Amino acid sequence: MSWRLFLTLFILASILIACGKDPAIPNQQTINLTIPEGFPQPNIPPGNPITKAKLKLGKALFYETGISRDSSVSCASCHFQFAAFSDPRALSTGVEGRSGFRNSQALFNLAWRPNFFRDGGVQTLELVALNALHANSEFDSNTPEMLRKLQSSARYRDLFRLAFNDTVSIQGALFALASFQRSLISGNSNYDRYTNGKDSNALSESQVRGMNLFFSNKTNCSDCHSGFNFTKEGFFANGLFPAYPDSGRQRITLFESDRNKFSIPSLRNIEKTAPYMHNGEVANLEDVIEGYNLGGFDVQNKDSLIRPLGLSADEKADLLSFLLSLTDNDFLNNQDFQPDND
Amino acid sequence: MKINIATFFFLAITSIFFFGCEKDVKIPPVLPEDPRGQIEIRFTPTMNNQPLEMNEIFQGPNNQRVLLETFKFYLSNIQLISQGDTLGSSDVELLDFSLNSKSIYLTSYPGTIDKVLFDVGLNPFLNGTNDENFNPAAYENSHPLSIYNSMYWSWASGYIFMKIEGRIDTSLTQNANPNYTYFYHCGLDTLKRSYSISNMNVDVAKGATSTIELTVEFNDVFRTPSDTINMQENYFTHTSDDLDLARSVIVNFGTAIRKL
Repeated sequence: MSWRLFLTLFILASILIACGKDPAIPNQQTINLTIPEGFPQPNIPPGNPITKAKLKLGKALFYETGISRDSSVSCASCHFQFAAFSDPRALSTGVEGRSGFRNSQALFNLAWRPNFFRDGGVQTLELVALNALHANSEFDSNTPEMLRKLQSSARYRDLFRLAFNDTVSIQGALFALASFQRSLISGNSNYDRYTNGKDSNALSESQVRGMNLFFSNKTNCSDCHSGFNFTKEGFFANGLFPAYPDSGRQRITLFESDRNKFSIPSLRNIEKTAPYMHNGEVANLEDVIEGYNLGGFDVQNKDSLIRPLGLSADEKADLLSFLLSLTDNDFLNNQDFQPDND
Repeated sequence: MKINIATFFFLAITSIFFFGCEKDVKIPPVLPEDPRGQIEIRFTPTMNNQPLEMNEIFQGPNNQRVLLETFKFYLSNIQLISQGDTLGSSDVELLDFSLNSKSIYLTSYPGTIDKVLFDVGLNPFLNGTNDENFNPAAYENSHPLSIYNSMYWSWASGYIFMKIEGRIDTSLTQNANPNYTYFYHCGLDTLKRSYSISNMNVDVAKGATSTIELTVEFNDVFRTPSDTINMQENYFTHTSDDLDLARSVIVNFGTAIRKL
C-alpha cells in the first residue's frame, strides 16, 4: 500500500469516527408498511417514522415482562396473537392477578384508528402503552423504574442505540411500541380475497347471503361497521345490557350525552376476539347476533338503529357465517409478530 | 512557501480533529448584572397545625388512623405581586411531598411582595387538551410535566392535577395496621382553580433569597365548616368516575394552602 493511499484511507476513517456517533445505520432508514389492497394510506406521525430497528425494539418491549412491577406480565400477556392480539378472558389480569375493568381490545390496523381505548381517551398510539405501565391492574410500575430496568440490560441498550442512536429513554420506548403496533396489519381474509376479485369462491353461499344481510337496511350492521376496517369510528350506545356501571365515553368527556357509549370496534378477525363487548360479558358471536336481533335494552343514549330485527334462524346463521369470513389467518400466524429469539 | 504532501495531509487531519466536530467556540457576551433576587416558596404539610410526616400514622379527618403515602400537586401560573405589578412568575411547578420536594424557587425583581397568585392544576395548553400532537414524553425528566413524574393520565390524555394516596385503619378498635387503600386523583380542565394569598409582606432584594412560608393543612382537604368527606366511604376518585368528590377535594385543597 502506498503512503498516499494509506493517508487517504486514514483521513476517511478519521472523518467517520471522529465525531463519536455511529455512521448512518441502515436499520434507521424509514420503511413502508405493506398496505392491503383497498386500504387507504395509514396515518404515520412524521415524528415517528417506522424503521426496522424500531420494529425490533418495539416487538422486544411488547413481549418484555421485565417492565411490569414484579416482572410477571407483558403486553403480550393480555394481547395474544392467536386471538388477533385480544384476550380470551373477559377481563385481563395484571400483576398479582389484579383484574382490569374492561375487556382487552384486539390490536390490528391501529395505524388507521383516530383514538384508542374503548372510550377514546387517548388520541395517539405513542401514549397507549403508558396506561399499561402505570395502571394498578396492569404493570403497576412507573417511568423511572421501567427506565432503570431497561438501562440495566445490555440487550436493550443495544436495541435503543440501533433504533435511535441514543440511550434508553421513555420516549424511545413509547415510539418503538407504537411502531410495532402500527405494523400489526390485517387485511387478507376470505372476504378480502372475494371482494378484491382474487378468489370468487372465497365465500360460501351462506357467507354471501350473510354479507348481503350485513350490508342491508334490514340489519343496518354496516351503518356502524363500515369501510375497509368495518368501523366508522366514533362512539355508540348499543344497549345490549340493562345497566352500565361503566359510563364509557362519558368518563372522558363528562357529557351525559356520551354516557353508555363505547368505540365501535372493527369486525375483522371477530371470530377470534371473543368474548365480546366492553366488559367481555357476551361469550360468543351467536349471543352477540341474538342481542342485536332482540333490539337491546332501553338505556340512556341508545342508538335508534338498535331495534328488534326479526331475523330468522337461517338469517342469523348466515350472518354468523359471514362474520367468520373476516378471519385473517395469515395475520394470526405471521411470524414477524412473534418474539425474536435473540 | 513550499509544503510537501505529507505535511499537507498532516495539517488536514489535524484540522479535522480540531474543527470537524465541535461548533465554534464562542466568547460569552458580557451580561449586565442581574438585578433580581430569589423567592423560595416553602410548603409545610400539617395536620391540625402540626407538621405532618409522610408514611407515619396520624389521626385523620374522620378520627381514623391514616397513613399518607403520596401527596403531589401542580401549581401553575404562579405570580408574585407587589402593588399590582408582577415581580416574578413561573408557568408550572410540581410539588411532591413524598419525595420531600416542598419548595419552589422563583426569580423576582426587588420589591415587597404583598400577594401570591397561583392556579391549582394546569390550563388546557399545559394539559395538552385537544392537541393531538401533544407529547408528554418529549419533556426532559427534570421538567415538572415529564411523564417521569407519573402525573400524566395515560387513559385520559391529560395530567393529574393532584394526587393523594395512602391507607386507613378501618378496624373498629382503631389499633390495626392501616391497610385500606384510598386515593384521590384529581384532574381534567374543569377542575383547575385559581387562588390568591394576600398580606404576604415579603421583601425581595437583589442577589438575595427570601422565603414565603405556606402550610397545607391536610384536615382541610377533607373538611369544610359544613361537611367532612368520609375517607372510608369515599375512598377513591379518578375524577371522572366521581367528579363531585374530585371537585370537593381539589377545591378544599386550594383553601387548605395558607400563609404560615
